[in-house]
Amino acid sequence: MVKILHLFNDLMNLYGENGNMKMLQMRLKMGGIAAEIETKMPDNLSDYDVIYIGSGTERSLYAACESLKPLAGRLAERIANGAVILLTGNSLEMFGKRIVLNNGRVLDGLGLLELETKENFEQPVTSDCVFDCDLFDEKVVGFINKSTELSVAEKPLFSVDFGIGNNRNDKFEGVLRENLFATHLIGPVMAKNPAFLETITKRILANKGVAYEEVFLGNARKAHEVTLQALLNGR
Amino acid sequence: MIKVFLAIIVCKWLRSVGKVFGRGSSLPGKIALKICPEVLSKVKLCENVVAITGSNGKTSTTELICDTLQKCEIDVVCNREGSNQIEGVTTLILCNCDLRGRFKKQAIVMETDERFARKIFEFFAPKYYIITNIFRDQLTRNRHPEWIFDVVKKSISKTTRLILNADDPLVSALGQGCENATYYSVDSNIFLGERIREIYDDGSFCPICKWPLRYEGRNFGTLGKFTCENCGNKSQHSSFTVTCVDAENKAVKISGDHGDEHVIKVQNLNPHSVYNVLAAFVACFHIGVEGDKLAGALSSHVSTSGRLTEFDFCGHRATLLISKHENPVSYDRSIEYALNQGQEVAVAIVVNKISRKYFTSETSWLWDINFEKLKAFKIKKIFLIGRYCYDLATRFDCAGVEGNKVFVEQDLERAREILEREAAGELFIITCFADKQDVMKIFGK
Repeated sequence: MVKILHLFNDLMNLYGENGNMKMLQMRLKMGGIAAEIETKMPDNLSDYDVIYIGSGTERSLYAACESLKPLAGRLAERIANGAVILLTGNSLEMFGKRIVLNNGRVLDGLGLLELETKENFEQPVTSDCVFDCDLFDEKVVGFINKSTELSVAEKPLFSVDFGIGNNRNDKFEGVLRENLFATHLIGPVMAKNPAFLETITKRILANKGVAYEEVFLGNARKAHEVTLQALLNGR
Repeated sequence: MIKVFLAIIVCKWLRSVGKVFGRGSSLPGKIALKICPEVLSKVKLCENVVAITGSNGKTSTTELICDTLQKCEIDVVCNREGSNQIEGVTTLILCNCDLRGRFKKQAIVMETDERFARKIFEFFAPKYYIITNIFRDQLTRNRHPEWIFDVVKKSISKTTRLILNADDPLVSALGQGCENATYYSVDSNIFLGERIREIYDDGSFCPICKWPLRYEGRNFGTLGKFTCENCGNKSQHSSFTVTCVDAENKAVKISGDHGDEHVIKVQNLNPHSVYNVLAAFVACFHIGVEGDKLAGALSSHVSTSGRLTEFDFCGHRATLLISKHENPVSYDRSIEYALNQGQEVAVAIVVNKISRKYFTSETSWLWDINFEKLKAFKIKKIFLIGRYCYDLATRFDCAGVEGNKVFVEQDLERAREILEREAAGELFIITCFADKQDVMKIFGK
């Protein structure tokens, strides 16, 4: 049994983000592994194999960040212990040191990742993206929809082939630390990229000591191919 | 003044030439704005300038107001074709001005794009500004509803009378601190059937302070009577309220603040149409159309916007339900509509081009649509069609819809062949304006 903690499933569920957990649960089930998703904010994080947070509006992010602060220490432990942590959309911003808001105020982050965010509402960034990832051969597709620039001093998760990275001048995107995968990509990224989903599944099963067997997600693979071709051909 | 004159004459000429060749109404305004960028502040508009914005229902509400005013013998124009950015609005205005820049009609009703209303209203302030709702819509361009809330807020002028949907937590908040606002509302729980929680709920939390919102009841999406106990955001007191829905006679009762009541016949008695009719009623009432006359004119309205097209498909009754890609609420409403018809239903969903205006492969909005509802027993067959059919199919894999009733085909011609063979009962084709033409060319022949 894989135990998944999906934090802020209501507050941080913009851009169909809950689809990520639907895909993960389906994928595990296809491999004969039961997965249970909990959505209540717990006191203890050590029970969970996977912790996930999706994307939200700016106001939602600030609220999520404040309510997560009491858990920051426990989250740090889980990251260090190699638990699978998945952050998509803007949720990675609150894991950084601070967010400099558009009005100049500063919001302290959870301080778990070496990154800083600066809001820039005058120049929102929306872009289809094609990225590369060292962990697998397939290209990654998705969409970035944000109004922030990130300065990241962590190992990146992706490198930019087409689209935009952490900021306008950065050729890299996201964070990979131990088993923490963080990306601003939406899609949902785990539905749009079956190879990425497989990589995450592998890590979850390795942590559990369960043997990995590849599962073929036919529709998701075809969808990925269609999107990739569309983006590479620019139409 | 020469520039204004030139802009008007060029705009009129381009529009009349464009009409011959079936061109859209944006280009003349675009050229006119090049000739005289501030032309909109130079023309002398009529007294009754009505603007409509919001995520859903703009076009229908614009059409309703315009037709109703016409029936009440008010000389009025509107941008019926939905050219709702500054260029389209410029075309509409200049083509109805004389060469000295005097607007010749008694009223103008303009649909305005949520993001660009601010640009338009830099040049003039509408007398009435209706804001229907703010939902998830075209997030590739609009970012998200709260972003649009902040943008729309900047388009509001102090001299304008706001006509606001009190049931929408974002729209109702737009009127906070504004004396010049009239609110309208539809009583919750007057529609038959149970309200199902959709895939996402933007009504869970107050959009302003993120405290949990409390609802007394809801109609659909975020619309209902709500209160935030933290910041005080709540459904503002409404002066015009739909208090009764008469399903048998297809009519609604609008109750005014002063005890006045009006019964209006409604072509489609679904919650979103009722909101549109109510908004149109309030606007026309403010313009000064007398209540009974207004009720009569609104009741006789027949929609021409083609959101619902019925045709015969190989002996099956078929209905094309026009929704909007990237707009989950519109899909949820279409699915709900299909579920309420017939005994045996087949549903085809076509996502071929995500937008007709720009290219994107963004399909996250498919995950915000409650396709799980199609697990219902009466839904016998489901056809997922178009370029993004496999994204749809992935979504359906997760929705837990029985695989043997789902057919997936990328090519529209081949999809038609599958439908000819497999369609069962009544057929509903759900797609977007962006794909309407291609779909009708192949399925409507």
